[in-house]
Amino acid sequence: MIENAKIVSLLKDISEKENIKDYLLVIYGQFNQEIVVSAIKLIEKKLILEQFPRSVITKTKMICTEMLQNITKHQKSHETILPYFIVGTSDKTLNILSGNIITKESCNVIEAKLLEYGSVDRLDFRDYYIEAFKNAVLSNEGNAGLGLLEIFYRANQNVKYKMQNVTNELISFNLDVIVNKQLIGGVI
Amino acid sequence: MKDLIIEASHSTPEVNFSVAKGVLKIKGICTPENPKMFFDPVMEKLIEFQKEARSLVIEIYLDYFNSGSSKSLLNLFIEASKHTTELKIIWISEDEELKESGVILEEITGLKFEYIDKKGN
Repeated sequence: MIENAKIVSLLKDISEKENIKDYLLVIYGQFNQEIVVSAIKLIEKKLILEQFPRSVITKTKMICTEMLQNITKHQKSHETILPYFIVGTSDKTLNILSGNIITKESCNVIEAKLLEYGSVDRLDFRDYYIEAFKNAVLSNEGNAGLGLLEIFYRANQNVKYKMQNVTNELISFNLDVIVNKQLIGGVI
Repeated sequence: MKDLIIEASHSTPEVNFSVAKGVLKIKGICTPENPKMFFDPVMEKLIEFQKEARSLVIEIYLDYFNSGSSKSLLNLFIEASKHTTELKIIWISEDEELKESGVILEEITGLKFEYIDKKGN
């Protein structure tokens, strides 16, 4: 029950900070590919029921896929901090939030990418995305390091993050991605 | 040379590579954990197909996909453009978000795509 109390407290905190009115999906615990697939199906059903535009649904599914697969790949075990994935809505936005424990080594790589993607001018980002995508190399494990880039591109760079030390080796990494409900580009 | 048929799964698309017709169709959801592993047999079949210079039609009709799969598709298109006598890429999409993904791959490869809008938005 301690874990339930934690997730309720997290949801209240997010509601206040991000102005979330409704939660469409909350997942808390260890992630795997089966959970990724089920989560995307559920999100799609909920967004169809809420009559979101088709392009917003596709955009959301693609962003969620990258975020969920990133958690699955990079999550590290911790006694009290479990990964989470949340999709909520405010009046104008769809908010996709994730949190998980990563290694300090991963943190350095991720933060460098986040800073670089965030620094690109919004008008230049499509060209930047194309160039980075073109130059990426797919490893035998199927990684091309394109997940965060894809998230930034599809969310028009509306991405926030927080990293906090948990131990000397582990970092808590939170990613908040905002999608405009009506698919009108620009800063939200 | 045999056709390549891969059945769809919950996270991978149906693949139908008809050697006799020179048509490769990929349809469904494409979010495998290891896209390279999924696309390797398709790439191998393509390379085998290209040993005899032939024309090829690639038809892509995806619901959604991950970034690794998108990169794999790019590699597939680049390989297909190398030896086929005539290459036609048909990008079928149900909304603008998916169509734009095709436009980006078209820009990167410099190949001409044919677009089919299934439902529009």
